[in-house]
Amino acid sequence: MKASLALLVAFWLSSTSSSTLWAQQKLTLSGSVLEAKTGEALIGVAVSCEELRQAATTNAYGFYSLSLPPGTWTIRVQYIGFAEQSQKLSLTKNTSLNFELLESAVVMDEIVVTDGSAEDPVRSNQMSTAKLSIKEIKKIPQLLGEVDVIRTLTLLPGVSSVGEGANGFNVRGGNVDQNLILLDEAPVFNSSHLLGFFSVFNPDAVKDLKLFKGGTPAEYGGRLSSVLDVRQKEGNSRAFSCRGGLGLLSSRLLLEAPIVKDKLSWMLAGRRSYADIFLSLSDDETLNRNILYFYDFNAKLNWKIDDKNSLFASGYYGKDVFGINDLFSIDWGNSTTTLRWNNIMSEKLFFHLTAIYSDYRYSLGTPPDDDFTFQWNSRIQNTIGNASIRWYSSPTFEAELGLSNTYYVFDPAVITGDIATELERQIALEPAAYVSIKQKVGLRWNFEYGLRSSAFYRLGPGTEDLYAPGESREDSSIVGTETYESGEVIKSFNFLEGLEPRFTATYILDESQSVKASYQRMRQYIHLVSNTTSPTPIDIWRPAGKYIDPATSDQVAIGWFKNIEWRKGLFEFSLEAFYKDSRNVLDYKYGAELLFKENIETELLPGDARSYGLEVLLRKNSGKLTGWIAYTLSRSEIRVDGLYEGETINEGAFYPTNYDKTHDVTIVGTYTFSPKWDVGAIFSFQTGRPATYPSARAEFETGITYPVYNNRNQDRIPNYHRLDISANYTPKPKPDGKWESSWSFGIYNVYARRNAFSVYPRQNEDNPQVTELVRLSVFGGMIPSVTYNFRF
Amino acid sequence: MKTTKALFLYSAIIGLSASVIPGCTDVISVDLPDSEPLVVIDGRITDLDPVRVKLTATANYFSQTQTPRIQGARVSLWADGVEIAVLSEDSAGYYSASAMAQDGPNYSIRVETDENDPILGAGVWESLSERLPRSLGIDSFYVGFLSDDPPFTDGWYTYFEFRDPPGIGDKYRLRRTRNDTILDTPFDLSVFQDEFWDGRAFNGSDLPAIRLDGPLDSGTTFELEMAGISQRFFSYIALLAEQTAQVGGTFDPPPAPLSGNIRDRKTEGKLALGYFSVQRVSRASAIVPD
Repeated sequence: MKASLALLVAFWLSSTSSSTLWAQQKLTLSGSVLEAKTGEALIGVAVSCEELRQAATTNAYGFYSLSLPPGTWTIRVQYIGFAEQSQKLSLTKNTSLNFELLESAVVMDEIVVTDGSAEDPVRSNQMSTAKLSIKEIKKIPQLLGEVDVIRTLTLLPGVSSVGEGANGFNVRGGNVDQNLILLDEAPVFNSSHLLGFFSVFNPDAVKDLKLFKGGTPAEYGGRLSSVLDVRQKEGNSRAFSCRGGLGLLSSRLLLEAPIVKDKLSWMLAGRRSYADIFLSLSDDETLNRNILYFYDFNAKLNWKIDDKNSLFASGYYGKDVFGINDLFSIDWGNSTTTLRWNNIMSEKLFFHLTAIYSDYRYSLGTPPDDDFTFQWNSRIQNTIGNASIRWYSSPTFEAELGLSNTYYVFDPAVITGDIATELERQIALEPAAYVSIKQKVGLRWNFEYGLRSSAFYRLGPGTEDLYAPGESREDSSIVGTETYESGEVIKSFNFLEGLEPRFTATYILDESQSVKASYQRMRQYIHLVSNTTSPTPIDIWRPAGKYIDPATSDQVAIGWFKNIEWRKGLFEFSLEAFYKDSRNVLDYKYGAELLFKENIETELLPGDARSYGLEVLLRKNSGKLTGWIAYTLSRSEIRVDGLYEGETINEGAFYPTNYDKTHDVTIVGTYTFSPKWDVGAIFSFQTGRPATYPSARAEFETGITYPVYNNRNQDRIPNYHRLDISANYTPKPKPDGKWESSWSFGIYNVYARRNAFSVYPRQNEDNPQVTELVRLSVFGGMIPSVTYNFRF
Repeated sequence: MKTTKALFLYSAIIGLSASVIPGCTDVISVDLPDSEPLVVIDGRITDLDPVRVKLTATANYFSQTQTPRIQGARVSLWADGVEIAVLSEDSAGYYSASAMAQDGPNYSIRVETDENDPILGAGVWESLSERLPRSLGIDSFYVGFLSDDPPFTDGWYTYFEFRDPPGIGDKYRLRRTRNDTILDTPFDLSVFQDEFWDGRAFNGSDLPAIRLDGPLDSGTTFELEMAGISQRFFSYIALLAEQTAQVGGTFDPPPAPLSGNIRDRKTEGKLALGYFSVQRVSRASAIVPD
C-alpha cells in the first residue's frame, strides 16, 4: 500500500510540476461536441491536433479540453458513425470552440454501419469495459422484439446471468448485488421488469451505456464486481421530435423538444406492457383475473444557462404490478431523481455538483376488502450528494478530485392490516473521497490511477441482539439487547479500512496493438439478502453493521489488444485474463428464514469468493457485416467455513457458485443488405450451471419421499445453446423526410431447444414410490416477434 | 413461483401460435451413482398417543421401490436420561410402546442395531431430547358454506379457530385427514408460528377463523390435528416442505440437506437422518352436510 501511495504521489508531483512549466507556453482549446440534428452532447468524441498528434476525448457531458502551443493547427473531430470534421485554427489565446457533427450519410454502395464509439480499444487506457450503442443493440435479435440493454450486455465476455428470465446479471463471477447500476448517476436497485425478463431501461431514452468489469475509475465505488453507467438522452434542443414502437409485449413513446432553442430542452419517454390485457381475454377464470404489467417513465430537462453553466434535471419512475386472482398482489419499482450542475470554471477546470435521490419500493398484500388483510411495504431510500472537479492540466495529464456522501434509509418491512408490525428502520451513512488521474508518459505509456477512500456508519436509533460469546448466532443464544439513540453510531468502518486503490496501465506496442494491466480494490457496504436461484423483487437489502461486515474484493487483470486489418475490414481483438478475490460475501445457513427476520445475522454465513478466467473478443464494427465473437473461460467459487455446526458448507472447501459457467461462447452478426434490409443472428453456448443432484432418497412419515444431498453444486445441468435470428425492414422515407419507420421481425430460440433453467428432484404425483429428475425450461419453444418502430 | 413464470409466459405469447411452444417441464434421465444406505429414524411421542418410531434406510434416488425397513433393532424411550420403555416391533420397521408424553421430562430415543443387521450393520443413534411444548389446542373446527367470494368456488369449506397463548415462540403443525386418508404430499406439510400474532385469537372476532380446505363434497369427513411443536422440529418441517414442494424454479432456494435431531453415537460425524419429536396435539373432526 505504501508503495502504491508513493508511486501515486510521485506521478502527481512530476506531472504537476512539468505541466506548470509548460503552462506558460501553452494555450487551451476547449468546448463541446454536439450532435447537429438534436443538439445532444456526444460522449467519447476524439478531438485531436493533427500536426502535434495530441488528442482529447469528450467527457460524459460532451466537454473537451486540449492544451496547445500558439500557432496554426488543424483540429480534427472524429466519432464513428458521424462525418469527420477538420478545421484550421490560428490559436493566439485561450479559445472556446464547439463542434457539431452530422451522422454519416448512408448510400447504397458504401454502407457504413458502426457502433457509435470512437474510442480505439488499442490506444484507450481502459480495459475490462463493455460499451454498446443503442443503434447496435437495436439491430440484433431480441426476445419478443423488446430491445434490452442488459440482455445484450450478457452477450459480451465476462457478463452472464443464471438463466433465462433471471433477475439481474453476473459479472466476472460476481453475484447480482455486486453490480452498481447507475441511471444518470442515481443507483437503481432492481434492474428488471416482469420478474427478470426485461430490463428497466427504455432503449429510446438511453443515450450511452458503459459497463466496467474491472479497471474501474476511482469515481465509482460501492459494489464489488461492476459498474453499469447509463446516461439518459438530454432532449432535442433544435426541434420537436418523436419516436416510438409497437411490440407484442409493450409499446413505447419518446418526445423531445426545445423550449428555448439551443438553451433549454426536454425529453419525456414512457413504456407500458400489456400482458394483462391479453390475460383478461382468456376464458379461463383462473387467468383472466390475473394482473401483470409494467410501465416506466424517463424525463430530462436540460438547461444550458450560458457557455459555462448548464443544469440537468432527470428522473425515472418504473413500476411492475402483479396480481393473482384477487388473492394477493405484488408491486415494485425504482424511482430516481438527479439534479446536476456543470460549471466550466476555466478552459482547464470542469466542476460538477449533483444531488440524487433514489427510492426502491415494493409491497405485497391482500385486497383491502378481504376478510383478512395484510399489506407489507418495504423501501430503500438513498440521498446522495456528489461533487467533483476535473483539471485538464495538459494533453498528457488530467486529474479529478471528488467527494461523495450517501445517506441510506432501509425499511425492511412495515406491515399493516389485521396483523400490524414492522421491522426496525436502518439508517447508514457512506462518505467517500477520491482522486483519479489520467496520465500519458511518452508516446507509449498511458496510466489511469487513483485512490478512493470510503467509510460507513450504521446509525441509530436501533437495537441489536447480543449473543453468548463462543456460540453460534441463533435465537437461542441471545443473551440480551443493546439500544442506540438516534444518530448514535452502532458500528463504523473508517476511511483507512476503506482505502480502494485503482490502477490501469497501457503500453502501446505499435499502432495496432497494446498490452494493459489493471488492479482494483472495491468495497461494498450493503448486501442483497437473497437465498433463491435468482433474486426476487421482494428481497431485502441490509447494510453492514455490528454483525455484517462490508465485502471487499481485489481484482487484477492483464490484456492484449490488437486491431487487425483483413480484407478491407478492421477487426478489434482483445484477450484478457483476470483474477478476483472477495471477502465477506454472503451465503446462507441451510433452510435460512429470511422473510420478516429482524436479527438476520442468525441466518447469514460470511464467505470468501474467488473467480478467474480468460475473455476473448473479436469484433467488427464497420462494413456490411458487423458483430462479434465472444468467448469466456472462467471459474467462480465460494467457500464458507464457519466455526460452528451448520455454518460450514461442503466441508469448508471452495465450491462453484450458482452462476459458474466454464465455457460461454456468443457469436453475434448483423448484415446490411441495403438501406432497406438488414438481418441479424445470435448463437450462444454455455456450460450448464452448477446443480446439486440427490445422492439418495429417504422417507418421511407415511408418504413423503425427500432427496438426500451430500455436497452443494457438484453436478451440472445440461449445456445451454440457442440461435436467434432477426430482420429489420426500413422503408424509404417519405419525400417530406419527416416520417421514418421500420419493422423488426425476429425468432428467439429458432430450433426450439428446451434449455434447462434447472433440474430438480420430484416425487411422482401419481406414484409416490417413483422419484424423478425434472427439467424446467423457461422457454420450451421458438418465440416469434414483430415490432413496428417510428420516428418523426 | 414456477406458476408465476408460467403465467407471464402465457400472457406474453398469447396471440401467437401456441402450438409452437410446448410444455416447459419434462422428466430427464441422469446417471446418479449408487449410495451407501443411511439410517432414517422417524418418530414421535405426544400427550395423546403412544410413542411410535419408524426405522428405514435411504435408497438410491432412482430405486423406485419402498425404502428398506430396519428390522430387529432395539429402540428405547428415555426421559431425563433414564430409559423408561423399550419399543416392540409391530411390523417391519415400525416400533411402538404404550408410553405417552407428560409435562416436565425431556424425552429422547435410542436406536441400536447389531453387526447382523443386513443393511446398516452395528450402530447406535440417539435423538436430541425435547419437552412437551405448550399449545392451547383447537377451539373450534367446523364446516361452513362459502359463496360469492371469487376466485374461490362456492361450496363447503372447513374452518378452525384457536388462540395463541401470550409469549412469542409458539410453533404449530397442522395435519389433515380426509375420509380417513391422511393428506401426506409435500404440499400438505404445514407449520406456522406466532411471531406476528402472539397472544391473538383466530376466532372470527379478533382475527378471522382460518379457512382450510374446500370445496368439499357432501358427506366428506375431515379431521384436523394441530400440534404444538418445538422450534427445531418447526425448522425441520419448514425445510422439508421447502425442499420437496418449492424446488427448481427461478425464485426457489437451493438444495439443502435435511438435518434433524438424530445423532450417530458410534461413528461421530456420520450422517443420520430423521427426527424424533415431542408434540402436544389437539384433534377435531367435522362432516360436510348433505
